[in-house]
Amino acid sequence: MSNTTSRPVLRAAVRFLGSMNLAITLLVGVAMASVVGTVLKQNQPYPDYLAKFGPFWFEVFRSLGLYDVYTAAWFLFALAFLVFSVSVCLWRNAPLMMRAMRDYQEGRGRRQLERLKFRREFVSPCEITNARNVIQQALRRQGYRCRTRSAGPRHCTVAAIRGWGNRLGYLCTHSAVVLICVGGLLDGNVPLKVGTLLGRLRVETRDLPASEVPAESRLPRDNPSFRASVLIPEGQRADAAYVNVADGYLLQPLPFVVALRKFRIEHYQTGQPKSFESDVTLSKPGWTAPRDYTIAVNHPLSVEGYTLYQASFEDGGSRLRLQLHRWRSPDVEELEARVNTTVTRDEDGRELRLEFTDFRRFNLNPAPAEDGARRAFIDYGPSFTYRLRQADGTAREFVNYMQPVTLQGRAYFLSGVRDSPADELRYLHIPADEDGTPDQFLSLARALYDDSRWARVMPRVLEDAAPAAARDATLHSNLEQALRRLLILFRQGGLDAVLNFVNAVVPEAHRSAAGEAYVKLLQTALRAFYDDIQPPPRPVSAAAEQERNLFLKDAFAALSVLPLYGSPFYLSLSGYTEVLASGLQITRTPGKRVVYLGFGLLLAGVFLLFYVPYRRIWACLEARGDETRVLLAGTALRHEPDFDREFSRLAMKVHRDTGARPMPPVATLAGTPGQRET
Amino acid sequence: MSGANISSGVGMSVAPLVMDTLPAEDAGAVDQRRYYRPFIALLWSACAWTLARYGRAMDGYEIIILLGVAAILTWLTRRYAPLRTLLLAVAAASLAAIVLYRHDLTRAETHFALKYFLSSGAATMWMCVLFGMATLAYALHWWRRSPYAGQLATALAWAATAAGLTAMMVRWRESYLIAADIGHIPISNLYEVFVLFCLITALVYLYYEREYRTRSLGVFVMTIISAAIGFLLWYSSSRGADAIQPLVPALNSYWMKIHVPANFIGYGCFSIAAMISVAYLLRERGGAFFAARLPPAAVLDELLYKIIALGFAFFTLATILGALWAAEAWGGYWSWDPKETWALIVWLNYAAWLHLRIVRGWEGRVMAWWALVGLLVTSFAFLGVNMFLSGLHSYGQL
Repeated sequence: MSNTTSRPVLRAAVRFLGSMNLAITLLVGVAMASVVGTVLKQNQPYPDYLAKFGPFWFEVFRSLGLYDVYTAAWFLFALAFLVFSVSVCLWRNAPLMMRAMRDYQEGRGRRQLERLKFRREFVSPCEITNARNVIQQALRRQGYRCRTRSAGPRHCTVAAIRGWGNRLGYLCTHSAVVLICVGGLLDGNVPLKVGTLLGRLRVETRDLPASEVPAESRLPRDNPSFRASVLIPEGQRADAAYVNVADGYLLQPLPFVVALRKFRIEHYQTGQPKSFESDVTLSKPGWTAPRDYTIAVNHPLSVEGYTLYQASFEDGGSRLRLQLHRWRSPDVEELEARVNTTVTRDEDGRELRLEFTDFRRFNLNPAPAEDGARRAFIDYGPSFTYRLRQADGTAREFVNYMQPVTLQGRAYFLSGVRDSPADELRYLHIPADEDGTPDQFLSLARALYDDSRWARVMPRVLEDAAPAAARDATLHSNLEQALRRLLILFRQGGLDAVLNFVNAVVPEAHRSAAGEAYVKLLQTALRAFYDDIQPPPRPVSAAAEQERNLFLKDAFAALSVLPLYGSPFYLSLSGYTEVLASGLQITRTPGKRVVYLGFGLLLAGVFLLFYVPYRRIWACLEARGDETRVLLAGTALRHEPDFDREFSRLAMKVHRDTGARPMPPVATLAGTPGQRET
Repeated sequence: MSGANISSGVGMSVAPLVMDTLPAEDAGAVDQRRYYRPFIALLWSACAWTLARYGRAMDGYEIIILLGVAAILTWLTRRYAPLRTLLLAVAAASLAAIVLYRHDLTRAETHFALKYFLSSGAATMWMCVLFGMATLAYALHWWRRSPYAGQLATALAWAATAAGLTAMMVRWRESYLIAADIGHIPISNLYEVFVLFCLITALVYLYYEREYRTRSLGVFVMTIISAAIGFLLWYSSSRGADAIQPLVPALNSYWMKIHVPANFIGYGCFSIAAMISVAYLLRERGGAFFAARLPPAAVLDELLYKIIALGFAFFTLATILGALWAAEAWGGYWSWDPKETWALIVWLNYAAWLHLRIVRGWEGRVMAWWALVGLLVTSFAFLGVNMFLSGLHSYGQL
């Protein structure tokens, strides 16, 4: 076979590499290895993996390359091995196949043909040349190409082949696999891996402006193949993009400057986003004028071999007008901030940093399904996100909504809080007052923190809670002290602290009664505070009274968890100017054409392989006086039952057209090989 | 790997085929010719009318897709005659629905014919019911070997397919009635593609039922369709998934119209292949009971190969179309996204199967088991990825 080499070891190696068993093993092996990368989320920040697997397994998985399986050396090696194996197979078989297609094997003798599975034999009462012509015609009509060899006037053999496309299919599919893999390799990030391994490139992990990225983390401007991304805020420009590698990035300078004029989000009437579009202006030194384009999802922009895609968007530094409401101070502080900037505040002598991280104009949430079937969305309105960082570096994240959200008929200002991005947000529900503001709740909270107000309100609380105590001075004073302790407890630790206290000091049998009494007392106190800051109108209507009760219920629920909120103030949004940033992906893929050629070949090849049958038929003719003895024999690569039908039809036609004697009953496929028909 | 050694047929073993004496083409010749020309004339006139009337509103891709569909149907209906009747029935029902709606979606609740038959919700329900009945009839046919039940089963399966296809067509129209910009082909979420899956699986099965003149596999294939129907009913009743949702921007592309159907021809074929494998294994090991009720093992084996080959060819097409689309939407023809990777795994799996079958000539039990396991892999690529993994391709979340 491989007569190119005479050394037996090499020959054995080539045979092994081109063998089916190896190819199948590699196919299945690559499939199994690919599973790993889908089960384990790829290319996440390393600390996430560390937190997930612990230090030992983190290190093991890292050394196996499991965080980026598809560029891991062993995976690429398996892939390369598969490509190599397919190439060897092609190299070995293609010449054989080409030769086989030209080789009609018209020299096959009667004895060889009699061993084939598909056979018919009969005697026709016509001359050998007539019989030959009939057979050739019948075969050609079936799509066969024929070649005839005469061995003297009394013998001749017609050899026919059909299905050249099938063999072409083999060549197409297998060369396609090689092309696709090679093209994919051209566009992959293997050169980056090699560069970082050799130390020519250093992955930058610090968050630096493009201009400050050191030279060893910069890729050449004329880099032929890369996949980079860049975030450009509206009104700004970029002349470089970032290629993410492992836990950092490399800077890819661009030959042009991309300026984002406007980023647009359009919405359907239901509220869901309909399209994301960026209006950009590109300028390049060689161009006479800057060029304007629009890039949208599914509509990338191709410029001089570079392709720009709409990949993502986020806030690009929206301007927020905020109001800071401290629990302990009646003054409202006006504040201006931009997203992605930090504001510092001094609270009780401690420095607090407010890191504004996001702003969203729309917050679509599935509406509670009332009719069951139709799911609609409601917009919770603008929200902003900030982190409150203490002097010791710990931070809490807050997400505040600008407008009240209606939940089960009541309107609340939502403020979500969490300690780490991995947690779910827990929401503080601040009840909106009649004017649709959080002000009444905020005054109520401030009243609770305002010791001077206590002296005024306390007697009223006691009067409401225990009218009898007014006559007994000792009882009155004890009760007042108890109430003061309770309120301090509530203020410091919320309802949890109160219930813990009950659990600690009250015997189990009386706990629930005591708990209820305390809650009742707290509610009474809250009502007194509320009456103090917002005296009820006289005379109070039933509806207004009900409204006050509901508000107090909500306020009590919110105050009960306020200490867990973990912030000395509430931040509300009074206005904003939105600035968006568009995330563009910029690529250069020289291998794309090769891959697409491979796709075309693969597709053509697969259909050729399956739907163009490869078949051979021989007719062995022997003149016997005026009669001709005909032996038809055939073989098919697959679809034998189909071939059986075709062969039978052909034989019947030849039989009829040559006017042969009635054909003896034939065993078609049932006949055992070598069995002669009578 | 080549299998080039074609010249010796010796040593291959093929069991005798106990089939009908006449080749199927001859027997069905009359049927195949029946109103083919009028049908094709109608098809192309409809196509021409559409272009004349709406051509200006269509972009180049849509015109190409329209002409492509007409060409494919011309070819397909020539080989697959009952498709003509199906398409005429579906066209008539869909047009009736469009006329009855009179640009007003609320008529789905008020008009009798729409409410109970022609609105997409009602037609889908009819599809579910009819497929359920077809399953029972196929089971009865298989169990009692009753020819009448067999004919009934086939008729029910065709009726179910007609109902399902009508449901999709009408749903397409309904999406435009909600709002012009919401309108889209109904193959964009899990609910819609499940309907598509049932239809394609049924059509592929019914083709081979005709070709091989055996209804004994119907009960196996209908079982998997019934399972899909069960999921569909649960999904729409408990999750309200049957509501028409607007397209997310990434799906708003002409690629969807060709990528998704191609994919589901693949999924449908692989499912049928798995069910034929079940039949094969029962035939092999189940004794006389199954031997009397199933085609010979060699026929099953051949059918298994043909269906996997068909599925593989279309799965290849779908994956390539997906890559081309990804190159436009996600900025790269291959991103090792979980869905892509699982498509590759499915592809590699069946590539290995086909190599062993074609080149090594493996047949029988091992290949049947492999095709059965292949369905698990395919199901994971279809559903599991959406349920358990996240990625770019996260449409149709459960």
